[in-house]
Amino acid sequence: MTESIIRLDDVWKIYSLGKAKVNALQGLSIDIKHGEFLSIMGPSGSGKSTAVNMVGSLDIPSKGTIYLEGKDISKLSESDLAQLRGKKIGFIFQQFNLIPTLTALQNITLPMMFQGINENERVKRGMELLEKVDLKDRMHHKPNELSGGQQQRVAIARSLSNDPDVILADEPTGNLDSKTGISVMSFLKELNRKDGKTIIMVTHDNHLAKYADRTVYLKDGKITRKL
Amino acid sequence: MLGIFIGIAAVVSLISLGQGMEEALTATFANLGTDKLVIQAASTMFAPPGSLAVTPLTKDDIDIVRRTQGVKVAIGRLLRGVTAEHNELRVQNFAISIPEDLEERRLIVEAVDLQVEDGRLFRNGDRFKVLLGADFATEDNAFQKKMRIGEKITLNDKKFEVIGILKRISAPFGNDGFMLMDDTLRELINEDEEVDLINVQVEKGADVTKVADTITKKFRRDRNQDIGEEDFTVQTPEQASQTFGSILLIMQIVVIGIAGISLIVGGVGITNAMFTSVLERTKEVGIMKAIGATNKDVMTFFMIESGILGMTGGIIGILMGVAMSGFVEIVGKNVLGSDLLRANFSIYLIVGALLFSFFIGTVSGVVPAMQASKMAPVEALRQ
Repeated sequence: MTESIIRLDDVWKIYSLGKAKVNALQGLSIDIKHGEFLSIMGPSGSGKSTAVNMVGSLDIPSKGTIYLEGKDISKLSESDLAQLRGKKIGFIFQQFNLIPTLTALQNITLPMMFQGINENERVKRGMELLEKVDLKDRMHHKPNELSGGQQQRVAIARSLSNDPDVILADEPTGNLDSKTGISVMSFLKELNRKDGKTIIMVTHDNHLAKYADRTVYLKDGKITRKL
Repeated sequence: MLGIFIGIAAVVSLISLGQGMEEALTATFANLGTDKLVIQAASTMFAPPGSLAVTPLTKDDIDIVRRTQGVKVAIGRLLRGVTAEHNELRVQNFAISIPEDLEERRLIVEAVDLQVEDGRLFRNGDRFKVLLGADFATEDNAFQKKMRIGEKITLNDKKFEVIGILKRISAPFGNDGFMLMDDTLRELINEDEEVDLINVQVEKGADVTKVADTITKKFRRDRNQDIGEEDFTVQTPEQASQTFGSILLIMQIVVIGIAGISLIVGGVGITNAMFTSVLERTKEVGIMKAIGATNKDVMTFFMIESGILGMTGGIIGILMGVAMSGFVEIVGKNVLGSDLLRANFSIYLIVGALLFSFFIGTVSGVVPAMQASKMAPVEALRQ
């Protein structure tokens, strides 16, 4: 059996809204293996966004432990977490979340800057990634000069810039038409198969689940079903 | 940013003018030589000598000076306003006296570096002859015409013959005024006793400061005054330039105070702009954090941005300041006819102003940048 890359162990996330307490996650445990394509499904309010934030080390649990490659990251400082996710995890968002004032190339190279990689190296790697997502001719375009599909491809390239082991995709096709959505999904699948990236995708779209090796269903902050 | 560029413009223009003025004054006093003293009646610092004097100096005072050990020559001089007429124009202007005695005259000529552009200097026995300041060599003077040797002008209703036009000098009133022989000027203004300033040449090897002290003591005794009550001043060239220097310093402190307030206002403006910018870009902060930016990275990013904002204000301010002092210089030369208003832009001033504006911008951005850096990534991304 392959080793786990991310493991959530009895993770709780409790939000206080005034006096009321909301349990966004209630003892969630997931074990994600190296090279796996996992999809997390559930209706809105099921806690899947909270779950993905935990998996992506964007948030820390109220209770429970999160392991990244066997290391407990639930008690790391925010700056250590930032360094860690910059290196180990690439994010793809539903809203693309590119920086509007930067060009495609600059957006792609930004995560490398935060890791202290020198400019020559950054540009070289950035160009390779643009080629990989077939947008080399758009390198100097800003996000508002690109179509939705192109923006998501820039976002995918950006998620790969530090060559992370894990790609976290939160509703990656949510803002795309179905044809573009399919091409993005194929691309993710290819990253998983050819490059061995671990892909964790959050979606509420049943059709996308077929790309994944495994799907977990969340409801009320708990896993209700595994496939 | 408005405050920043007003502040920087004020600093740049006033400091450059201040430096220019200081240089002009230093040059003026350097000309006087280090072995000479000037005695004036008090309260004439800001006005031409004689005009506001409480107790005017007299020929008796010259005698006191002459009797002081270490004094080689003491020359009493007058600097008075006269009414000049020529070319159908009637103007008020200054006339300065030149000693009748040949030795004394030679000393003044040397000290002020008097040379003629055209014509000649005074000779013994010259009466009702006038030397004109350098401004009269062009059309840019009180008579609005280029003057020639031999022409006649009227001073206090008496006819004078122009015998020479002087080369430009750095002494006050030297380029736009008239020079007359002492007896002639006294006759013209009907003044026998008073002198406006006493130029003193100290003997070779004598200590200028000591001689100045002795003269001060003698004057005090003669006038029955205590220390601090003097209504006269004895100035060595260094003292004179120090006095001007300290006036300049006070002026510059006031200016820097005003500029400081503008800069603080500008800084608050930048802080406000940065708060808005941070709020508007909360999501960007979230994105940056998601892709690996640490709190320090985010903080640095916003502080540099804020610094650049300040520096942009600084660049505009420097340009405005240069333009402003250039304007003042032109006005000074053409309207007031003064060479003292001269702008001097040192590279230190420009670079200093630039760095300072960047610094103000950066400091103003600290709090907003801290706010941005402390945002939780999840919250920020949700915006």
